[in-house]
Formats: sequence, structure tokens, C-alpha cells
Amino acid sequence: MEKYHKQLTQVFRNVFQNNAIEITRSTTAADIDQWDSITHLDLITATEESFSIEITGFDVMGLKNVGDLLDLITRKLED
Amino acid sequence: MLFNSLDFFKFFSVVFLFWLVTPSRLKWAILLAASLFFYAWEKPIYLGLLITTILVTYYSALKMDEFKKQMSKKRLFLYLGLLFNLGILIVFKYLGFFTDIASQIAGLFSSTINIEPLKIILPIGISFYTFQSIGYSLDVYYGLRKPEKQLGYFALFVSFFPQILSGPIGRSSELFPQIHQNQNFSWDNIGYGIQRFTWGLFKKIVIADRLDVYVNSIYGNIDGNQGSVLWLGTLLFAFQLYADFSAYTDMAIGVARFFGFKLAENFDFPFISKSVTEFWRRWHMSLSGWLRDYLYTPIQFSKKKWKQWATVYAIFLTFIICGLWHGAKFTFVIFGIIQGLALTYEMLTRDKRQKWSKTFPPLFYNSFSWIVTFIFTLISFVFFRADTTPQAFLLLKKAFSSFYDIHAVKDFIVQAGGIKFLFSMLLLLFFILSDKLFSLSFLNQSKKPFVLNLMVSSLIVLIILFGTFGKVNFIYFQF
Repeated sequence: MEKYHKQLTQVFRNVFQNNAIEITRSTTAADIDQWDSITHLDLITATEESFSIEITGFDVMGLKNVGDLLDLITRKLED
Repeated sequence: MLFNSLDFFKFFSVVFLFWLVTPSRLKWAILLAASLFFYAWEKPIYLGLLITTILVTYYSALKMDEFKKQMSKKRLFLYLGLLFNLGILIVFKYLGFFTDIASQIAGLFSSTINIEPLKIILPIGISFYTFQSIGYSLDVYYGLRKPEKQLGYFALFVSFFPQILSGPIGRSSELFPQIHQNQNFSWDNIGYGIQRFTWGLFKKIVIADRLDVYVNSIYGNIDGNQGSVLWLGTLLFAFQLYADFSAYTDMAIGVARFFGFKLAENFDFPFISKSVTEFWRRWHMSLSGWLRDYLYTPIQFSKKKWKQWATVYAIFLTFIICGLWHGAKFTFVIFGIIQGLALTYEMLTRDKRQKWSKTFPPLFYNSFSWIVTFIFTLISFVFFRADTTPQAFLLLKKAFSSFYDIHAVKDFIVQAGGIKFLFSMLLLLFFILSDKLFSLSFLNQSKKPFVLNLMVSSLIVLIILFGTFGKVNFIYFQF
């Protein structure tokens, strides 16, 4: 889990081009300036590439915060 | 029942008294009974439609939960709920539009085929409560929440009277916790409710309804008016629309707060936006948020492989539907398309604009962005207000040819009552300048109680002195 958290933080920093970004399980789009409905697609695509997983539209709709995204990654990798 | 009518005051007083004396675990039942009565007030027959919506959505959500492990059955019950909600929306709102197009096409080919366009009276609030129900169904489907088991609570979620006619479109995640937690009387809520309601009443009958007369007279005679007057009419319409709809929202929020409910905010000073993207984050937020979560994002992710074109595709589809949501007219489709164009332009030039913003002095760049955005908003509102597409284009043609004709504006002012018109403009100016102060003071309770009381009292004086006590419907009631 800790490992995924670190890797996901790097994905966030790359996508939003900001090395100061720190994420927690409760982080939402409201907490990060550039994270909006347009960049959301880039974020999910970058997450897919980084973890080599496939995230469907159904998966995306069930996400409320970074915690949900981490759980999703864990589920996909361990299935 | 208009919020600014005597009937509503009587209704509200009775409901509030009953609510006060009812034990707190049963207060929801009073609110539900009041909501069903409120909805049946204009056209009792449509109460049947509302109750069917409630039952179908309630049942399909329970079934989705029952089959949560069997995706195909779960999806079947999602479709049941969606099909019903979209079905009644299409039948009542768009069937007339489609039969109208069909009759026009038939008319092109043959003069003997005669398709009568259907005329159906739109059940009030249908666009709002079907969207709220669809949002709930999708929340359950995506696993964001458990279905509501208590039918009475669910019925109140769909029909809560302060918001059923024109929103704010509520989210299950916001409303259900409030319905479950028994609300009790509180003086703070009463104070807050009075402040928001009074502010709304002021915006409605001192600002919006005054502007209504001038806007109607200018838009009623596009042929006979010069471009300069048409610009004035469009400018006044923009403020009328904002004042009218945000007034409704303030009153809805205020009324709900009497019973302890916090409804979603709908406006965040839209006219200060410096881009169209920003405008949609500040304008009718409960609708734009709904569209983003339940329409735009699913469309965008369904075409994920298209990269940025998935976003462009999702923007256009969402905004055409957003336009049509406002009404079954081509003018609204065009409204949606030009919003889509502007948003796509902003998306594709994002990086470039970021560079520009660093090259030019901030004051210059910000003012320029604001002016361009505001003029764009006005042009798009022409399609929002004009009765037909040819009228809208005629208006724009004139607006770009005779915009310099100051004498025509002078003549219009004289015709509109001279000093009386200028006084209305003074009231409008007062609203524009004080909007932020009043809105934020009430919203955040950021002033001392006696200052808030003073503000409410002065609004009441202005309402008594300058209110137009006719019966002008809220613009958004027709959607």
C-alpha cells in the first residue's frame, strides 16, 4: 500500500507538473488546483500506464478521493 | 406556487407550525405531506407522475443492490430507472419538439401528409426532479451509496418542496444524511432562513421583475430597435436572468433552512469570470456539477483512447444536452454549441494562454479576459432569450452593425419612462455593487448579528418601497 502511495504521488507530480504535491487518502480534486474535469482524464491514463492496469469508466465513476483510487489500484494489481 | 405570493406565505406558515409541534422523529412526514400538497397545487394530475417517479426509482435502486454481484441484472435495473426518468422527460418535454420537426419535414415533401405537432403542458419541475432521481440511481449503480430503504425518506429526497420546482438539484450524498438526522428547531436556522429569503425576495421583485418589463419590450421588437438598444436589452437580460434565478435559489435555500436543511449553492458571482470554463464553475453550479459527474465524465471515459479528442467530444455532447435541457428549441441547441466551441477553444489553448498571462501585465490580461468572457456570455444569452433562431441572428446582425447609435438609446430611455427607467438602473447598479457584500455576509454569517439585522431591515424597506408586486413567474420555472 505504502509503495503504491509513493508511486501514485509521482504520477500526480508528473501530470500536474508540480513536485511539491503531497497526497493523502482523503485528498480530492478540490485540494489540487490543476485537477479538474479536463485533467482528470490525463491523471487516470497516467495511472493506468504507471501501474500497467486498465481502469474502466465504471471504475472511475466510483472514485470519491485518492483513497478510493489507491484501493482500486490495489484491487486491480492483486486480482 | 410562487415563493413571492401570498398563497406561499399561508402555506409556509401552516407547514412550519405543524412541523414545530410534531415530535422530531416524525417531522419528515410533515415535510413529505407538505411537499406532495405543494406539488399538487397547480396541477393535481401531475402528482401521479411524481409518485410514479419516486416508486420506480426507489424500487430499481433496491434491486440494483440485491443484484450487486450480477452485473447484467444490476444494469437491467439501472436501465429501468433511467428509462423511466428519461422517458417521462422526453414525452412531456420533447415530444412536441420532435413532432414539430417531423411535421416540417413532411411538409417539405408533400402537402397532403399532415402531422399535428403535439401540445403537452410541461409538468413543473420535471427537469429538476428527474435529474435528481437519475443522479441517485447512478450513485447506487456506481456503488457510491447504499439505496435508501425507507420509502418515506426517499420520497422526501425527490419531492422536498423548497427545491422541487427549480432546484438546486440535490445530491444523494448531501441530502440523505440530513433527512436521516432528525432536524430540530433552532433560532440560528430561522435567522439564516430569513436573511437568505429576504435577499432573494429583493433580487426577485426589486431587480429582476423591474428589468423584465424593459427586456420584454426590447426583445419583443427586434425589427424596430437599433443595435445599441439591442445590446442594452441583452445586458439587462443577463442581469435579469442572474437576479431571477439566484433569487429563486436564495429563497429555496432560505425556506429549507427553516427546517434545518442545507441545500447546495447554485451561484458564485458568475459575471466576474475570466474564462468560459470559469463561468460554468460559477453559474447554475448544481446543474453543471451534475452534468460533469453523470454525463461528461462517463462520455469522456467511454472514448478514453481518443485522448484529448475524447474531452472535446464529451464537451460538445454535454453542452448540446445542457442546451436542450433548458427547453425543446433550436435556440437552446445553438446556445449549447457555442458554449461547447468556447470551452473547446479554451481547452486547446490552455498552455498558450498560461504563457500569455505571464507575458502581459496582470491587470491588462485579466481585464481583457474578463471583457471577452462577458461579451461572449452576452452573445450566448441572445440565444437563451430570443424566441426563435432567425430572431436571434437578426438581433446579432443588428448588434454588430448599428451598435454605435447612441440616439436610439436616448429615445428608448424616454419611451421607457425617462427618470423611472434611470431609477431602475440605479437600483440595478446598487445590486451589482452590493451583491458580493450581501451574499457573502449572509452566506458566511461574517458580520455581527446587529449588522446582519440592519442589512435585512434595509432590504425590507427597499422591497416595500420599490418592489413590483405583480405576478411574474420565475424564468427557470419553464425549464
